[in-house]
Amino acid sequence: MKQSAKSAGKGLNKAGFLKTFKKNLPLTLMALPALIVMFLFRYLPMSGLLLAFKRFSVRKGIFGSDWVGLDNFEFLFQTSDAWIITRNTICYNALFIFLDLVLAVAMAIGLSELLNKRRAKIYQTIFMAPYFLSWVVVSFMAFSLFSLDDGLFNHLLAYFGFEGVNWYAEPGKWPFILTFFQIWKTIGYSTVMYISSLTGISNDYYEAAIIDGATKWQQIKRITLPCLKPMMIVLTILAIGRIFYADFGLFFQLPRDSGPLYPVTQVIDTYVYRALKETGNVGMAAAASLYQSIVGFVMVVGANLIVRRIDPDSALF
Amino acid sequence: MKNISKRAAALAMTAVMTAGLLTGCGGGSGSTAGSTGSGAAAGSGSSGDEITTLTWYMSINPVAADTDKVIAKLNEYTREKIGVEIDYKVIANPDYKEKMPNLINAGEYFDICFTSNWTTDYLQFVGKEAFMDITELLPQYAKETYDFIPEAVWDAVKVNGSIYGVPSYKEMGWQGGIVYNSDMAEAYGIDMSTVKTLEDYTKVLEVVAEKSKAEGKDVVGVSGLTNAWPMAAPYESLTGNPKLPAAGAVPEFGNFQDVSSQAVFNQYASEEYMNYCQTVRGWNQAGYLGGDPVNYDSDIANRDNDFNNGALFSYFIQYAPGTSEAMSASSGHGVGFVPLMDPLFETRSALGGLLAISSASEHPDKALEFINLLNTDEYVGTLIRHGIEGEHYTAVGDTQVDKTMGGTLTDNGYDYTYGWQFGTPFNQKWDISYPDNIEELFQQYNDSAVISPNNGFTFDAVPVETQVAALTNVIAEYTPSLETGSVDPAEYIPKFLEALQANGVDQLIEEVNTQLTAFNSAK
Amino acid sequence: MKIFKKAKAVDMPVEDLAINRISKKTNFIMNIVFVMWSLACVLPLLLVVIVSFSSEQSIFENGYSFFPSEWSLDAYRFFFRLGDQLVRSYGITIFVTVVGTLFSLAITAMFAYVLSRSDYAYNRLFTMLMLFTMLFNGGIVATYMVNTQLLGLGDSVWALIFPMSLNAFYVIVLRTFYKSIPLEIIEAARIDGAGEFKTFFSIVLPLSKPGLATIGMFTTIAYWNDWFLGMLYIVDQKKYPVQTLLWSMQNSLEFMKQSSVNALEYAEMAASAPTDSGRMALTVLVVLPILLAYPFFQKYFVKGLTVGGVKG
Repeated sequence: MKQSAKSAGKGLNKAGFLKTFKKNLPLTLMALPALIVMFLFRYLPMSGLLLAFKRFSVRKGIFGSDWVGLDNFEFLFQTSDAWIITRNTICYNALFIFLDLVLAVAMAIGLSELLNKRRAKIYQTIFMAPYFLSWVVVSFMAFSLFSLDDGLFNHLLAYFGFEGVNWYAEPGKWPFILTFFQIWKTIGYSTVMYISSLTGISNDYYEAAIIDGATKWQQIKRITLPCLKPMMIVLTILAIGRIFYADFGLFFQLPRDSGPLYPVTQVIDTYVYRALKETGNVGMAAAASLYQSIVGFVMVVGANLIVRRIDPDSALF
Repeated sequence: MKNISKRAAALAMTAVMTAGLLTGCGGGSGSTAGSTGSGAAAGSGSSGDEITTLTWYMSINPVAADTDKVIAKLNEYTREKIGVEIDYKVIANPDYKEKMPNLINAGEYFDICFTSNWTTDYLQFVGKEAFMDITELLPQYAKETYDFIPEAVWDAVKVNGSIYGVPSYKEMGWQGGIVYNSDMAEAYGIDMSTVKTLEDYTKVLEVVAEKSKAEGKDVVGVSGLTNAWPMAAPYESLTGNPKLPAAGAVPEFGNFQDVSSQAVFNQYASEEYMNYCQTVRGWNQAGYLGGDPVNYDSDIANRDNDFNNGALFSYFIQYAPGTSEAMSASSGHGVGFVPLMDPLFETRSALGGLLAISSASEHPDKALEFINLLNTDEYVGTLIRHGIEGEHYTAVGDTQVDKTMGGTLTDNGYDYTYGWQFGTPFNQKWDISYPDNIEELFQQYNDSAVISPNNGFTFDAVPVETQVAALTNVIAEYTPSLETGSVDPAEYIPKFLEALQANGVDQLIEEVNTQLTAFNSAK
Repeated sequence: MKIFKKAKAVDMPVEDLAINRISKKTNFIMNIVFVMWSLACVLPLLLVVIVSFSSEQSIFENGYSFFPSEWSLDAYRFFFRLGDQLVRSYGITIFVTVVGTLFSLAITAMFAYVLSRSDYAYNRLFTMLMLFTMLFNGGIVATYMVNTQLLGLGDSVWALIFPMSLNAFYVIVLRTFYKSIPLEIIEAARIDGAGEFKTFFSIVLPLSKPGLATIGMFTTIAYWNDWFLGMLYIVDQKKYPVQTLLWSMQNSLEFMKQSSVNALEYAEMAASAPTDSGRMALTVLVVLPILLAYPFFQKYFVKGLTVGGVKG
């Protein structure tokens, strides 16, 4: 890292720049296809960010449309629910990030330690299964569990002599339900990431540890976890960058857009969706997305700064 | 100030565009100029070799397998008749909703496209200057259509006095009411003709519950309540969306007691809303609505099944002529209809389907001539809706078609249900499943329609978009449970009103009022 | 770096050393936990399959059930009525998935490798540029304009491939894999006279197989599952990939049922077309093929389960 910064600094004069450029040319060529794709499909459309400050007209196009200042952002803050929406989005995401990290790492290590390896493979495949189901399908499944009249849970409650619960009208229960389904759906995915990271750990470490008489628990603490650390940090920082984005399917489809649940299910993405369904205002959509991006950007830079203080090698940049 | 300058700019734009159009015509081939003067509607024929190709984006559901064949046939005819060939881009309704707005936003070229208030929103894209102002061109290039569609309908599609699309002329307005299982009503000895209001219906529900329980059956009395409130106390929705606050009273209905006929008011704060919610609350607590009316409403397939099997007695719908006949055919039992109101025609009623011309179109003249054919040439109307005679249908008498073709409808390569999306159904032959006197039924319906006092007023939401955004969320949160009687209105309506207040309902109503006053004084 | 010593230090694989095994008791408890979680994962999938084969009538009567009162193939019949179109759409999806994954993996792997090299001068610059694209995007209007107007990808299969081909998230994950490869190996290769490309293809790539397999699998899934790009960019229904086709068909049906009020002739079509079982059949048609491809990828990264894999 430091080296490259130095060499970039040296490149200030023209000759130095050319020299650096030439020396790095093979690697730059290797990066070129990706850079072209990035430029064409990511950077060219960035002009759309301007729409956040404009009133879009089809005939005038993006650049020709009239400026409206910050008007497009107003709807995000003027609602009386602004606080609830922000709180929900951030709290759920923070919880999901934490649980996903802890559980996926635990699961990956647990699977790798099982005595029967074939069984471990089968488990691992099965854990991926929910990832393939769309939220719409999951919401119908969930309805067959939670439905007031025909739901499995209410049948069970009735069987044990309790009164049925109107699940879709009781906000108190949904933070748990949402968290469960989120983890259920994504944990397999994260586990795969960590399992494939485990393959990168050399046997020699463990061999040395065994010779030193380290217990299993010590091996995990001293070898496995430190080796997984870079992946843990990277995945967490990236997740933090998306802390202001909520999974629309989870918060909209799963609770079936049920009004009484809004206090615990209303997040930025559902609010924006409902708000713009009527007006279809392109500028307001752009404003919402820019707002989410900026918060994400600040969070990533902040998280990265902290990581760099503690462990410079694991930092993203 | 903002509005005025915007309007001025739009006017200037129109002037420039018209000028461009004129020079385009003048500079073009002689044939186009020739057909301009005489009016293509008279069927000037292709007076030259020049064939204009029009790109037409159409939303229809589902896309028929034999579309290419039918369009080839259509092109044969239109080439001859008006010198036009259609480059037909047909997209299924749900896909169109996703695709078309992006296509228009991105400035993709097209001549004609389908628009409405439920897909690719007409007012929204007029606001984005995507459609061409055809007020002047209409009488020139589509005179027959212009004369054929009633004035009130043209008024309704006007935005700031200009027309941006040709509406599909079908039933005028909407009529709320209850469809019910008439066999069951008869068996239980219920006289539905006495039902005029929602309160009257309580007695019916009571009898249904009582008698069905006696038979050991569990029958849901009525469903569809999430749409029922505007039918119980109809009002003119001045924002174009009946869910948004800002209602206007319709004097003919005389249903809102404490508001004067001209005022703009918040329908949710009215006495009538409280009454409606109380009534429904009573139904809910008496068990007439099933356990979970909100979720019951969202599963249409299940509802239809219950209705067909006699597990559901009735539900609220917006009615069109011929509906109960069709429903009794599909449900296997008698179906009756109780209207709760006369049909109401308001601005939004005309926005169910329109064909608009792109503001970038190079051939608005030809596009209008073609739209004119869709609306007035019976060969074209029937062809685009029912397909080719002998291949997709056989004619029955002069006005009807039989589409079974010795098999089932599902095997028919060209079968569309929503023919009106192509234009007016009065210019298409009718399927034999409709009653013989269907056009008369439509005529009766349209004659009985009440035209709302502010028909033609379109609300420009731009100045209060922030409020509309926030209010939409509040309404989605509270109304489903209130309007199905799932919560106590005495407790929740005040909360609801408070939330509306906090999110700017007053500003919205104020803005509607201002614009409406300006609209009426300009009339 | 002693990690990459050539020969195995101990002949016996590590997992066979009795001392390194977890106790039978721990193993038993962990198995119980995993079995329970497996049930939570696999039962819903099984239910999807069963419901897709249930008759619509039995769903109305009993809701979703593992033991439907009546079996039926109606849902599949509904989709198979598409006939040639379905085959063609599967073809398009397979093409997009294979070509897309290969292309995406190639550019992602090279880019990630370059970014992982701490001695590369523009490392930081490009990392920042890429991170920026992960956090900010131009929105659908501008993206659509660029892709259709500027790049002319409208109604073309490439519109389904290129926009998804570079995912910053995967670049960063892969970069993390590469970073665990010590620079010494690369330098050793250079001393042996290998160029950057040769080093990459003959030394780095083989070492990062688990990472590539993981990313490759996720990319494959993403291409396979995508219906939205098809919905956005493909106008001609004949060119729909299979996900878009099925999505569109299911929604057309639901649309028809919901607006049934003013429809007359629809009855027969709607009656023959199942909604609940159809939704599930759609899921089966989409998920099953990709589930079958899963073990192919798993064989590369699942080695991690047996501890060890990277050998010098």
